[in-house]
Amino acid sequence: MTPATLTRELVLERSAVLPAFPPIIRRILDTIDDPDANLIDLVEHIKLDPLIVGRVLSIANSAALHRRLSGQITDLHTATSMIGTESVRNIALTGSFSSLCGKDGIDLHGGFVRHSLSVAVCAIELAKQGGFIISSEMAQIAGLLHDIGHLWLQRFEPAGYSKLFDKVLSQQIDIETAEMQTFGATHSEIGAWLGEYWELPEELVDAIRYHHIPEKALHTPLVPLIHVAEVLSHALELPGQSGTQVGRLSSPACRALGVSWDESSGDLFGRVEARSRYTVGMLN
Amino acid sequence: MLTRTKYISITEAAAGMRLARSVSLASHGRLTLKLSQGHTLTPQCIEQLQVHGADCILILEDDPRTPEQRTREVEAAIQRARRVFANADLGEPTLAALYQQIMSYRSKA
Repeated sequence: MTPATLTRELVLERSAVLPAFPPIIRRILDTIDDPDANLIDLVEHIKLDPLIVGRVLSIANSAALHRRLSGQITDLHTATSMIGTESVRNIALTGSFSSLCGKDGIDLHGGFVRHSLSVAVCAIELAKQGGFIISSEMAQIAGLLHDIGHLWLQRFEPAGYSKLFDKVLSQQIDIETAEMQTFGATHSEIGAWLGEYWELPEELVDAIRYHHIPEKALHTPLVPLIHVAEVLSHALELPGQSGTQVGRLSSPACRALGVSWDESSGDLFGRVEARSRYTVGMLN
Repeated sequence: MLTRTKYISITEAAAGMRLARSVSLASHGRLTLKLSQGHTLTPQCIEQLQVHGADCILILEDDPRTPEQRTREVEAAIQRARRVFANADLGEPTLAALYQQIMSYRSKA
């Protein structure tokens, strides 16, 4: 039986049962370019999610214990002072993304969520040293969402999806070729359709759509960023990369990003591994 | 005892750790915090690092491994890296450069 070709209409029709796009991520996206946005605003959104509040307080209390400070931290503002604004934002993004993925994301082929977090970390660090100005928040969100199409396939086409990786290995083809043969669409296209459905910024949708073929959209900085970030996450065997290998690295993407691999790369690798350890550890 | 350097996230920082590299933090173009190489961290300066937005620091720590253990670990790290790049086209200069830097990094494990 020939599998049905996945079309945009079919993908979006089935997507109606997916969880709503996390309001915290949307709020962070809405305020990325807003210099007047402040932490108080973010905290007000975080308060609406008890799981994230719990995580922020837990990490803050752990940090307080680590520094041998007495007293229990019970409010978000004190927690923010203890662990810093960036940590709170990281926890909020990670927690929201994990909720979007649900249990499937944790179980999916070696840890979909761990892989996405790892790519997000690489994206943040590469953005700091690249030639473009890309905000940490946008880099992180793009990293988290870049493979969201995989999650869709696993949830709605589980039979075909479970055979994909065997096809890649046995036929020695790349994942997108295997996806086209099986579904008539790639996880990148499906993820981009989802991004459009969620009304995400165009540059974010492009990063999802073109992260395997960055030459198609090098003028959008997030595209080469996420491509290189994913390759780097494989190269360093970051959490969620079990059994994966480095295949292709686009030279034009590296040039567009202003990244070169030389003696200074060791610092980048060290920072990425340290942040990845911490970020993935937050899942536990 | 030998020492080694290691990047840690700021949340892993603990009093007594020594900085392997100086830390300079700035906000709006102004220096807000500077700690020198070799500085020993205290709870107060860890808090300051957090407040001023430090995310990772490079520390110097004692390396308790014997030379044999160190060699075994480096070899294992290099073998894993080779497996990761087993299907990569190392004739492509950019990929070859990344591979070379990964191998260099792993050889200092």
